[in-house]
Amino acid sequence: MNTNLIQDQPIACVPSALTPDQQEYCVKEIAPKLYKAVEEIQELPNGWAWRLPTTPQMLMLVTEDLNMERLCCPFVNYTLEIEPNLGPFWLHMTGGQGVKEFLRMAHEGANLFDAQVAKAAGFDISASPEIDSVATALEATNKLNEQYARTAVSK
Amino acid sequence: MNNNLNEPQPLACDLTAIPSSVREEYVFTAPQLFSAAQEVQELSNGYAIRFLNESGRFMSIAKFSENEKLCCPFFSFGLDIEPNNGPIWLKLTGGEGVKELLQTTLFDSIEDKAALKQLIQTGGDAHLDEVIAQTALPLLKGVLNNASSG
Repeated sequence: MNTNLIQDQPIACVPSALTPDQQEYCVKEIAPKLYKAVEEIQELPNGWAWRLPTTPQMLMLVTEDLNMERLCCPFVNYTLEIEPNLGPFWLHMTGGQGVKEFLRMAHEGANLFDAQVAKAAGFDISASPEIDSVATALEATNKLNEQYARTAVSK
Repeated sequence: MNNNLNEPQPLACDLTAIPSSVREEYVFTAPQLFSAAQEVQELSNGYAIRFLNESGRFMSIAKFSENEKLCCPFFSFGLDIEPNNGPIWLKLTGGEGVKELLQTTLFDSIEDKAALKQLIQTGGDAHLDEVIAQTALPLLKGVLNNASSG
């Protein structure tokens, strides 16, 4: 059902798409709660899916996150699935060529997930930095963009 | 009292499952949300509704879904944000009978008040019954002209 005809958008996270207040809120309030709540990460052909618990706050937490993610990472297709009868939420993050690899690097580039959940999905986050301030988030984002750009050029 | 557990129960929206503090607001805001729909696509097991990706729209769709999953727990919801500021799709789907229920609430005018009360249950709240009768249905009648088969 993808009706968006704009193609070949650059794959890079642009934190400046968010206001400083949004960046602060995302780093301090949204990311720590959301990433730690992820119960499972599944690999998809063109991306990744997170399983999230059906708690009263979770849908609004995901919504607030996506409201900002769609600005700083507009090349990702975000799909939130809410299963019937109070089943879990699934957040799918997918996209065209390169998006899955970028997201894998993003998942591994910060120590935000529960260690067991990350390990089960094949991500090694043990050496990744803790993201506890906007400064560390911006540093990790710059590294991520550079890492992905190097990989994309070498292919 | 119906003790026959094997008899299939009709699907119905139980508004009392929504916290009373937000119930009436929900009844008012749901039609407002659907009035902003740009297109409806028919799916094999439900409908997909397209919205512009404008400020606050995703949040309002999520808030609708948050309440709707309480009163209609048999729905599956899909909120799809297409890349590069593309549209937002709200997919409402489900098992047997769900598409028919959606057809009724989204597109049909229900003149019979008793049928409406059976379809949208308010726990005997006469005020809410009246609000629903006046404002809530059909949610997407105005968009029906844009509907196409998916």
